[in-house]
Amino acid sequence: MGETIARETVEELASRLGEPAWLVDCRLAARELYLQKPNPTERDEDWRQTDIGALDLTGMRILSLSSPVVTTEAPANLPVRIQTGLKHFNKLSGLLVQSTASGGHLVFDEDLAKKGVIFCDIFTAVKNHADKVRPALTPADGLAEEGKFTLLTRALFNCGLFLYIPKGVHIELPFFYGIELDSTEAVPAALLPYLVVVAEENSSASLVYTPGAKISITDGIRPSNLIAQYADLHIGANSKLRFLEVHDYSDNMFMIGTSNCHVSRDARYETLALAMGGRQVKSDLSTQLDAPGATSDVYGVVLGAGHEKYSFNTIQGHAAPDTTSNITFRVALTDHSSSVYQGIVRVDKIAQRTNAYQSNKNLLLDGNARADSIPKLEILADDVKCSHGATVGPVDREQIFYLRSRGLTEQQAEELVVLGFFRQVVEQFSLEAAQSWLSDLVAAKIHGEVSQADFFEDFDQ
Amino acid sequence: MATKAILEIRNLHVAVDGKEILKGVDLTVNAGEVHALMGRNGSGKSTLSYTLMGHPRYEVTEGEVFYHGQNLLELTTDERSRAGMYLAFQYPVAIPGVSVSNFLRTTVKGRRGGDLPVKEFRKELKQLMANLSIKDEFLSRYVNDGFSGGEKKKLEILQMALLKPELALLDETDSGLDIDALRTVAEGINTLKTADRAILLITHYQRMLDYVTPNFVHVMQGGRIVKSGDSDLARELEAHGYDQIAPELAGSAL
Ligand SMILES: Nc1ncnc2c1ncn2[C@@H]1O[C@H](COP(=O)(O)OP(=O)(O)OP(=O)(O)O)[C@@H](O)[C@H]1O
Ligand SMILES: [Mg+2]
Repeated sequence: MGETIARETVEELASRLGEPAWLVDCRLAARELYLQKPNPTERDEDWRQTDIGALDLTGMRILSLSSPVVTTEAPANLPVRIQTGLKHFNKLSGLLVQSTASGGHLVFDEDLAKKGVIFCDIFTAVKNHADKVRPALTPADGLAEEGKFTLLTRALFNCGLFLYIPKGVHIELPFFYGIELDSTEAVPAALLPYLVVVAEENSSASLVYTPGAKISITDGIRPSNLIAQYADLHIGANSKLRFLEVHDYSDNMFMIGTSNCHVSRDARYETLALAMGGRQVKSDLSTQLDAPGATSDVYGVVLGAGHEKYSFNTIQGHAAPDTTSNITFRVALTDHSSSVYQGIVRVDKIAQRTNAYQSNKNLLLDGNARADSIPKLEILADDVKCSHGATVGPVDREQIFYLRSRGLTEQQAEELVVLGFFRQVVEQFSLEAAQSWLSDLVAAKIHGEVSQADFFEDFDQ
Repeated sequence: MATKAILEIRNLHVAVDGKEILKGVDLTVNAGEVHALMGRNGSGKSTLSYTLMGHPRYEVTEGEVFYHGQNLLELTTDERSRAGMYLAFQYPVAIPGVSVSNFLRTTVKGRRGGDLPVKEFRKELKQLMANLSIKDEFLSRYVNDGFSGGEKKKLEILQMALLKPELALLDETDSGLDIDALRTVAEGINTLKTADRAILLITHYQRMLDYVTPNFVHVMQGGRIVKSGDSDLARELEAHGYDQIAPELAGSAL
């Protein structure tokens, strides 16, 4: 892996975007720290079995995306992958798409804008809402603790989102943010999205985020494209935020991401990450329960095939008493794919009466697939309820036989078992569109087409 | 008119994990017939039904099986199903996360092919469920997950009624049913009794055979069919037990 990001690269990017000095300084400071940090290797605990050897940052093109065109309706020329995702939502509060092929588009409900809700790309936010976005972009406690790739994103972010929900505003319909990186040029390309979400006190909102690309590689050029993202989420007292992430990449792509959510008093964070493809997907999902009554529910579903590799680290941070965290992570792997899951439960000394639950189940559909699960407990308080469990095992052949005896082929039977395995997680997530979307993604991945089964289309009522 | 054989089993030997369980089964089932298969615990009845459905653990070491004159043993399990065979499991398997409604719709769609109009299917399903007194709430539950013994058996019969197999193998579907359920399940089975279908009913109890009258009754012992007769044989077994009826095998080890 190459290391250098030239200072000029940062400066050019910032001047092209016409950024204010405070942000340029911030980018440069992040670059400095980035250069000081050693490259992660598989010997680093957080990077176990994570292979980014083929990623060449030196030669990588930091793409520039045109700023979004504001329209009243979703345009027809959106990337197919994003259209397929949008199909699962009848109505949205806002839609932002940033695509290397079809450009940027923004649709946003005006009534919400009048209430003070902000939904725009990150650069528009820097221009028009600096007071609100600046605290997130320039953290008070500095950048020294941040990971190498978070620093990379801070130095070079070239796309991103700002979502701001004012005090007392409750929004039922989700916001949708899609990113598409479909470059097939020989020189690898990178998108570095930076997402900032702020939900003030007594508010609620949902955000759907899908970065990815499903490029078809025809003549053997397989650029090692990269999406390196950082998501910074803040949930004010008594507020609720739902966050659905759908990662769907072709097998030339790397995704390295960190999301960090701070949850205040009596607030709730509910998130589901779906990962359905990519050469190496590496994601750190961290929730910090900062005040009493804070709760987080983190769900994850991974379906691996081919030689795909997944590394998910979750961090359940309890920094205050009477806080509750749940993590349920399920992974199904076929072919030679592999996954490593590391689940950290961190309970500070003051965080008495913590409830922490962690479960990771892995289903191996092929003898060559491999899954590892590593729980890590760092518990400093003494009055804590903490449970964790992990399983790794093959598909139950009796289930497959039962389904085949009803006429399903082996492949259909496996699809159904995998969907059932995932559904037990996804149906706990309260944004229902995730269920039908997941079944489409699974069907598309297992046999390259949309589900025949209409699996989640319930018809019984 | 010549009777039409749906199933012909000749000298069938089957091993599980290297141990021979079936030791030469011969049985012919013609269209329109109901056969009852009885026998002590461990005599090989379920082994026969799993083998007929193609369970990968059951290895046919000798013999032949024909279904409509075609070599059954070359078909995969799902091919057998699509060819019209159905096995109601003695121990139905739970599929967590898969709701009954979606499971039924997926399997029925797969079998009937093409589009399955939601409305008509729902109507048909609701009717069958009412007949079997299965509550609507079962549709949203996971397949067999946490079901009581009797509830599982009812779901097996519901599936049979939807799939309308030509050859139904019912492995102790009557076990674990309460008296009312037994009657409704028997009605479900009788509905399937038509001139072009056949049923192989594995049971321990005469009560089931009071509702579904078999044309033939077979007694399995030690992996073979050791005695066959008409419905009177079942009554004799009920009255006198296996020792009297099949004395040559009394007390034999498995
Ligand atoms: N994997 C195995 N290894 C050894 N023996 C086995 C194995 N599986 C089944 N058997 C034996 O095969 C015999 C036949 O079993 P089977 O389930 O066919 O009996 P059954 O007639 O259906 O009995 P029941 O009336 O109790 O249902 C039993 O003795 C059983 O223990
Ligand atoms: Mg049995």
